[in-house]
Amino acid sequence: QGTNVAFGTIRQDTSQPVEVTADNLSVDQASGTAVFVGNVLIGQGEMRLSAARVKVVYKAQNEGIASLEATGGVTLVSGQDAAEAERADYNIDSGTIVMTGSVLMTQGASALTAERMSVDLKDGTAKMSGRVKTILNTGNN
Amino acid sequence: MDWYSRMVAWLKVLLPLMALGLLSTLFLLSRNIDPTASIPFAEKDVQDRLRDQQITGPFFSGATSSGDLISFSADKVGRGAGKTTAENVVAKLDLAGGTKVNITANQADLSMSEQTVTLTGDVKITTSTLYKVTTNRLTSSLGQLDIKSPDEVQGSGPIGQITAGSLQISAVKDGGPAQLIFTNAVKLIYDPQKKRE
Repeated sequence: QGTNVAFGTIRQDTSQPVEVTADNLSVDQASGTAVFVGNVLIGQGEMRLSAARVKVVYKAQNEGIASLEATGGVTLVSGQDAAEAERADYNIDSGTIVMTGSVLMTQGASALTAERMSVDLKDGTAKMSGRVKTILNTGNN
Repeated sequence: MDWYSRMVAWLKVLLPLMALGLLSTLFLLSRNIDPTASIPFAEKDVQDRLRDQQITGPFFSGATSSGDLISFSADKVGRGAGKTTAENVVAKLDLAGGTKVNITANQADLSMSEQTVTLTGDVKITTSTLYKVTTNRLTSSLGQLDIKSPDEVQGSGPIGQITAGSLQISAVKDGGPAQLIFTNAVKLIYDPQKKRE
């Protein structure tokens, strides 16, 4: 069970190029894993995902990037919604971002916290699960 | 004496004479080699060679403490104006982890005292992990695996197009696998649709 929430304004075309900027990128020549370190910012279309450290996970035989593992405090902004968590796994092809570890999501005035949230960029929805707590701020003060 | 033995007698005379004639053409009519003809060398080349020493087709290889093999080869190495410069340099690195790195450059300044070499001019780095990086300057130490490229670096790899302020190839943990480290402001563009060649 979990609450379904609209996240981000528009349907995002996940085949747009993904841009990653960071302070450092180190590629291990033995295993080929690439790790971005130092205020990493991943951007695609409207979505911005910033994190302290991002590890690149490849598809088979270097066919491209399967997913990006962002750790060390992650903030995700899409449209005027924002979400924070400890860790996020962004699967580029399927356009889903799974955020885990004390997720806090703010939408306008209201805020939701949960253990886990999976955002689907394609149809702009987010599914939160694990002790979801909502603070609905009716904002009539 | 019938005609047969007369013919044989004549042949006994004629055939050796012909042999002698053939043999003599070997020495008399052959092309004579003029030892005094000069070897075709341009005047400028001779002057260059006189002014400073020069090695053509040099090859230099060494191994680092952690077992990476470094080898340099070039078209020619000259010792002009106080420093050793090589042209059309190809550096091949055979890293302990098994990956191979090829670096080509137009020119390289070798300084044996500090055991470093500076490659300049259209430096291209290709690694067996499908990374291709171009920059214009690169310094590499000959003793251990420590290659730095202080200037702008553009490159492409399995994860897409990369641009960065500088690049370093070195083993972070001593003896650990070599790392290709892009530093100060890395920017990567990955295009999901583009099929990797």
